[in-house]
Amino acid sequence: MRFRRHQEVAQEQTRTLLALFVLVVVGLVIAINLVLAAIYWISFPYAHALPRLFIETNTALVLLFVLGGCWVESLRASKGGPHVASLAGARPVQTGGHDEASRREKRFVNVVQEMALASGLRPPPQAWVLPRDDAINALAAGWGPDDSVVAVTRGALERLTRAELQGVVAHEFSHIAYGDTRLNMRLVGMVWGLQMIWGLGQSLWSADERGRRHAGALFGLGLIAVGSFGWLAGRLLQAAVSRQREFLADASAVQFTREVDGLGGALRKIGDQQARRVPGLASTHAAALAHLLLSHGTNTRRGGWRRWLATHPTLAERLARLYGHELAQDEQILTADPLPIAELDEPPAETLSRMAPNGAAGSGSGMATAGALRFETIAPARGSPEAHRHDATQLPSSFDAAEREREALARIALWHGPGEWQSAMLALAIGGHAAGAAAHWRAYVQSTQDFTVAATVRAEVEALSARGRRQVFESLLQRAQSATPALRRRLWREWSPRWRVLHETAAGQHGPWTWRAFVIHHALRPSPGRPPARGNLASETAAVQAATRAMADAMALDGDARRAWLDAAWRGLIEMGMPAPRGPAAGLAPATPQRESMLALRVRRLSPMQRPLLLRAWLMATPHGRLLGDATDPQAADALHLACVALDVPVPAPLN
Amino acid sequence: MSMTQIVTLVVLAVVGLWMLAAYNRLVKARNEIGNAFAQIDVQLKRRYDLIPNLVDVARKYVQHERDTLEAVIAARNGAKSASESAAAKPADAARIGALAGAEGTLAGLMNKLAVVVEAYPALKADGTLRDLSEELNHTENRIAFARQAFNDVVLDYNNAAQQVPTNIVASLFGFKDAAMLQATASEAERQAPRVSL
Repeated sequence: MRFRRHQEVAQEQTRTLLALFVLVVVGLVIAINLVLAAIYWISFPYAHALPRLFIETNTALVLLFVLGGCWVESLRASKGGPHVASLAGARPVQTGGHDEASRREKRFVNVVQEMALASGLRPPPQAWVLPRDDAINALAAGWGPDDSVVAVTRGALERLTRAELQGVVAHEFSHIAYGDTRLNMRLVGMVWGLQMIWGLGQSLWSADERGRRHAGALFGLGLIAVGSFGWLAGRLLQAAVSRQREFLADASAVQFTREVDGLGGALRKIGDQQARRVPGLASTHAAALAHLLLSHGTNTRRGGWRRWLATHPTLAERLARLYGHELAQDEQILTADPLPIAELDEPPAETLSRMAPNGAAGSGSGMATAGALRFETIAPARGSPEAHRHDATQLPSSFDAAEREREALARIALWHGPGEWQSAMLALAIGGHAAGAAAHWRAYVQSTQDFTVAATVRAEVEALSARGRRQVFESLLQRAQSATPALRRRLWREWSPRWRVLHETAAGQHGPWTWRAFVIHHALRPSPGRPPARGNLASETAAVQAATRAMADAMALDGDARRAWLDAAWRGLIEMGMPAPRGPAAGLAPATPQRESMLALRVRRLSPMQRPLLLRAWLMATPHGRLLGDATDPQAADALHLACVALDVPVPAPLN
Repeated sequence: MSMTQIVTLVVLAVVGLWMLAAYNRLVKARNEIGNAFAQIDVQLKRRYDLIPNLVDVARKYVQHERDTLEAVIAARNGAKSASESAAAKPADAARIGALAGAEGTLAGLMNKLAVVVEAYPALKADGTLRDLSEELNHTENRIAFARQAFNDVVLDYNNAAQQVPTNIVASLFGFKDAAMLQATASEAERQAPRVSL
């Protein structure tokens, strides 16, 4: 996220809106003068001129209302942050005990101190907790840095990881640093003043208990008319300013923590809670303090006009700004279950290792790398120093094959960059056996300028046994599928040209690697827009047949063996409800490999209930000996395993 | 006084006031840099103070690794004294080199200690160790954020000192550009990630 740009934009917008607000007040003064003058002339047609000091009185009264309202609100709010926070139901943190709750509050205090360093806010605000609230929310209150308070709900302490808590606290710090509480209070005061004008009109116009109107009733009507416009305009502008400040706070949170996933994860968890209808703050003052909260009533079901009066932008908008692109519905939600305290912090060994590598420079290597994408689901293997993950001199220390395999797998578990992912996937897909593998590899290395890491990765992968390779492939696929949407999109962008190149050079030759490439393609394909999977064997016949043919190729069957396998597969499928294949579709490949692969990909449209049937047909068609063969003939077992991964089907017993 | 004289005086007054404001802004930005740098130093000292506590907790559970624990304490003492001597005379290259060496030894031993902690599940589960690891985590974060805040403040100062009207005042009164802290000292470390990304 280009946070500085976003910050500048938000500040500019705020200035524009405040200028508009001033214009609204000036316009209101003029309009009231005009309307009242018009009414005067209607009521007293024989008057020669307006009464003395007419204009001055009107102007003075309007300004008195508006600025007076602002002043009264300031008085109310200047009792300080602690006062406002206790109105919301908060209390200061209690870090005395040794139980879980105290540990969490101590962690919160630490996070507040860290953010105070990152934002340069001196003195740091007090840390308070809202203990009665399960919803994830946070509150910043205070007129200035000296009496400011950052409060966080108990739900946030229990459900957010440390990084997410940092993002939330950084957001609140931004509100304090930029004086948003003061600005909002002043605007609220002025809007209240505008409302008083309308109220004055109301009271002039309303009849007393005997149904008689006051003499100035018409003036009241005029005030109601103009006042309601002014009040509405004031509310709209105040809400718009509040929304811009929220955007500014989000951008500043990214500036202070230098990562998007902290605040992004917290917002997504809030989305999850809203989807589950978890109630908001328990305090009765919550509505009045809405503009101080992290999130308030930001569900998407908003009617047209309600949107303009909201104090916070929708979660979807905020997430889109944070991540730089629109998120799909399911990506906007992250499960917000309470986390045990052990999971909330880094394990001790990792902290110690973090102190180690850059000891002299003290850079805190996991932390403040500006704009770096993080593969957040990967945890480095315990005990193996990361610095050696590509060290070619770290030869396996034993001659036992199983031991070497374990060590290799442990080293591979440390790979977590997109570059390593690419090289590993390409090495697995090509397999070193396909024609032109060397050429592919050279092209890849040239295009990425990656001369050292790619070679090491390839060597590691090819040194593994077939079973090991399968394990690595599945774990890399899982990482890709559970990576953040931004990273998945990037991997897809980098992978699809290779997929095309592999296809074109294959030129009709199918082999085990095409099946692997197909599975990678399936895992990375961005999900939005995919039609729901509801097909059955009868409706997706062409796709099923194409996939079966691809499976036959993946098993490296040809000639008679291939025909026999295909016949057995068709028999099995027909039994389960597929209509019999007719004519040339029975066993021969259609025109182009591209069309064949597109058809095979459509097998994803099968409903989850139908996919195990497909798999069973393939399994039953394969002779038992081939399934178990690992050393002599790994193709069949590999291909079926990969099919299970691609189709999201649990691996059946005979394959294990 | 004629019209032109008045106008000239007014213009000079405006320019003078602007120069005053610009100078004050630059001074304020420069002082922020000094403060931010001092913050980093404070956090580094915290880390030295936490290591003995860590070793004490580990000692209770870990009977056979006495040499590692003793070595960690010795390395920590060495690093602390090296840093104090370097702070006394920062311009001395020998002292800075000694500090780098002491930090390197300490780094290697912290790694070894990490392996030890992994091997003793009872130690890992100990409440005191968990509190301590939170403190260490917190200290590492503080160091990182202090460095980040320093870089942010340097950016603001450099922006102010280099942008066009203010840079005149800056060059007149000798405000030089400040340097940011680099991420890592080792060229090899910076090389490997860049290649694979």
